Amino acid sequence: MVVLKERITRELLPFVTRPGQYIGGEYNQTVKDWDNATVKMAFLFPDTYEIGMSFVGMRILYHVVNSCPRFLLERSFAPLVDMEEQMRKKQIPLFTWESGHAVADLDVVGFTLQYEMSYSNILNMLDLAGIPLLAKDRKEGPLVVAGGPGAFNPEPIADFFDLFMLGEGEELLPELLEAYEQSKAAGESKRDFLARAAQIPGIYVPSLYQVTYLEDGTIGEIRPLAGAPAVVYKRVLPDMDLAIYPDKDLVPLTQVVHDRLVLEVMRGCTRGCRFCQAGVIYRPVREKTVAKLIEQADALLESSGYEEIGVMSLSTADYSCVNELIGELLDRYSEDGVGVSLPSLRVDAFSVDLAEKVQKVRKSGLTFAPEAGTQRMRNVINKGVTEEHVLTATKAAFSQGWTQIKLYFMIGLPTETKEDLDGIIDLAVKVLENGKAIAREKGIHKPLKVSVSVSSFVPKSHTPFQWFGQNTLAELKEKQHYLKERAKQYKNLSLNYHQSEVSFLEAAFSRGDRRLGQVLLKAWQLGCKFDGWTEHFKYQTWLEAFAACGYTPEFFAYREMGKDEVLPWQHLSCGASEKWLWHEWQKALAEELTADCRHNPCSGCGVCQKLGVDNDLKGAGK
Amino acid sequence: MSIFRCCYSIQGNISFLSHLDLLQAWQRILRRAKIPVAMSQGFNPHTKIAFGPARPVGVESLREYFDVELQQDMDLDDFSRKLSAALPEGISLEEVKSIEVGEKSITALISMANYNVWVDSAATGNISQRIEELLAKEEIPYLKTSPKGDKTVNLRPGIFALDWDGEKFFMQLLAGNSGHVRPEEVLSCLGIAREEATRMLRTDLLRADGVRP
Repeated sequence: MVVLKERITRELLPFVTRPGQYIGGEYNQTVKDWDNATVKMAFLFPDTYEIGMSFVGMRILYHVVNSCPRFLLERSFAPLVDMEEQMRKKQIPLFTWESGHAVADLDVVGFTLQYEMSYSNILNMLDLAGIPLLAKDRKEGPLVVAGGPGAFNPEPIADFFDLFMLGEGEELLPELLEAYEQSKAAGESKRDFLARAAQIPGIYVPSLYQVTYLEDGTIGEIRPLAGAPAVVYKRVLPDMDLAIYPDKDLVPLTQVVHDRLVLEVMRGCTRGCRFCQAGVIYRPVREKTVAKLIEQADALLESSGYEEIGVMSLSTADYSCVNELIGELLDRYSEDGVGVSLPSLRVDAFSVDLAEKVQKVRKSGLTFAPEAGTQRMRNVINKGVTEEHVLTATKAAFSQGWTQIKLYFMIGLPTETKEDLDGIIDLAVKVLENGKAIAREKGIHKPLKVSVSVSSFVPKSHTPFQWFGQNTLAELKEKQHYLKERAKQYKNLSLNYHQSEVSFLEAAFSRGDRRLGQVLLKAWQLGCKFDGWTEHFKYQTWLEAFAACGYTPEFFAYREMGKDEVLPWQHLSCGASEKWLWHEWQKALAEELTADCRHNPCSGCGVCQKLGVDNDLKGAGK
Repeated sequence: MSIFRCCYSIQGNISFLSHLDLLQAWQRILRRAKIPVAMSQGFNPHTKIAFGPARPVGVESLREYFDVELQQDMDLDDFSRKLSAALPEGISLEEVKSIEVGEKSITALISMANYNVWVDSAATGNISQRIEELLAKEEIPYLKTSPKGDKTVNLRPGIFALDWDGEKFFMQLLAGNSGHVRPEEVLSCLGIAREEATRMLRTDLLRADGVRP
């Protein structure tokens, strides 16, 4: 085994932009003894360092695995285009940031699946590592695994992986590595190991499931082989206070997107927004106590030198002890110049008060997500927010000195009409008018700005909207155009939207099945990578790849799926039953709301009963 | 209230950090070390730290400098011990001395830098003659490229010394507020590509009179 580190230093780093992202060496980096590790794992993030290092899941698993005496975890990220060019020219394979070993020299290579449009990067990274792309071609060499939200429908990338991990990895990943350690010591074949691994709860081995298709292109059957379970259920931790969390965290030496201490206050959200996958797959809600969080913040601040604490969760204002926590954090640390930030705000005055508490000096902008423009549409998506909430929250924001408000909406939601589109602009205009009135009253001359951000709805697996066929590209573009024209008529109102072609392919992959593996391979061969980056996204090339394989993205993205259709992810479960999801889908069409089970009776999703867990709130709270 | 002039070395891959990244990294190091750094007054307060001239990315260094002002008096040994314990791998504290209020800051003091540059021997045929010819020129035009635009400059006045000892170059070059000549620019003028350099090391930063700051 050749340590590549010297070649990387001499032949790559001097010739690339921002080489600091490839050097590792962060404070608190763990470099374990290579020769004494029984199982060596590489954690691969399928995007750049500056994005990957902002991902808290990697930091947790880094700590989890490296805390196991016999195991080692090192990181690797997608090289930027100029770095890749140098690597290919000089025949230097993808390496790990810690010790500079070739990724292919480790036992287990694990990706995180955060976003469908990063899948081409996975293939590119495997190729750069010199690892055969297709699982069936890998008789030896590292085991290629993945976890993260994408593992709940990994079918489009099933051909490339040996196994997937469903749910939370704090316990599951060490269990997998222990099983691999035994297998390695016993000299077991890969095939035998996979059959055994499939018996570990939460492990999905795609090669042990046979998928057949019907003439209309839909799935006939997903049949487990070799004793693999008919349904794989996710893993979940019952008590977040007991979950392992890093006390020392990697402190990046160069710029990353979210460069702050991250305090995860809870996991899961039970608001039940019907478009939201995270709101289903991370159930139930499990909070940490304030005492635990302060203990973690103390340790992390002490060992990092960070000047900002990001209080993170799917909806931090819903944390039952949020007031107490924020107060305590400010009391303890603001004298040392440590700030607190809240990445996600709820649409209400309470959230504005929270923001006011943490953002005393520089009030730049606040973002709210009403998601839809009319009450009818908000009922369809079960976003428990009224126009009054939106207006009260934004008025409070203007009154407290904010001058820029960003409103986030989706278009292309089920049952959407022109009225719902008008509702988006009308709501934004009301917000703006209120702001102007407040400014006049208070004699504020700084110009106000309301910006509306519109994204195209992408139906996701494991949500009530999974059956819904996405709006066509033409429809989405027409809606965008309509909104743009209407927004133009108002000064101080701006509107922006994303490229809907990306949302179209995202929908195809989020609802896709195994046949998309060929398309992905083709697209990568034709040069697709970094598809989530506007400047790299090649829509025409993707269409070529679909055509070459004899498929269309329309089939996967636009098709309304029937109640009896076998869903590609039917054998993978986060605990929420398909029956409940369908029931929620029907309620959506009837414009009926479902209450948050945190403070109301159980809505029957099935997660707690199936997985033996419960919502775990730590305070009486708001 | 103390003001300390700190000299540190930076070696290994961490030298691929940019000057700006390093400034940010030092803020974190000082916080980690619990050094009570003084803050400027005003709407947008910042820490009172002044850095020496930027180090070219990928060039290691034995002597880099910054001045840091503290909110109160601090024992110099205590300061050094705390700071040393908070450093990332590859950075070492070499020397700390106390300076007086009102003394010229490090930024204004430095005007030249010494470098050692190791080069693949294959690229150094006939090197003494090439050095002699280069130094004999009155003008050495060089195209500096930057995102802000390209500009041709004369490097000659910024090259104070250039020598080859059979293994490495010694260069004494302009550095500081009045401009920079980088070692790889000198290599380029000698007809040696960046690829041929195996290691570049800044060995000293000096005042105009050749004395350390």
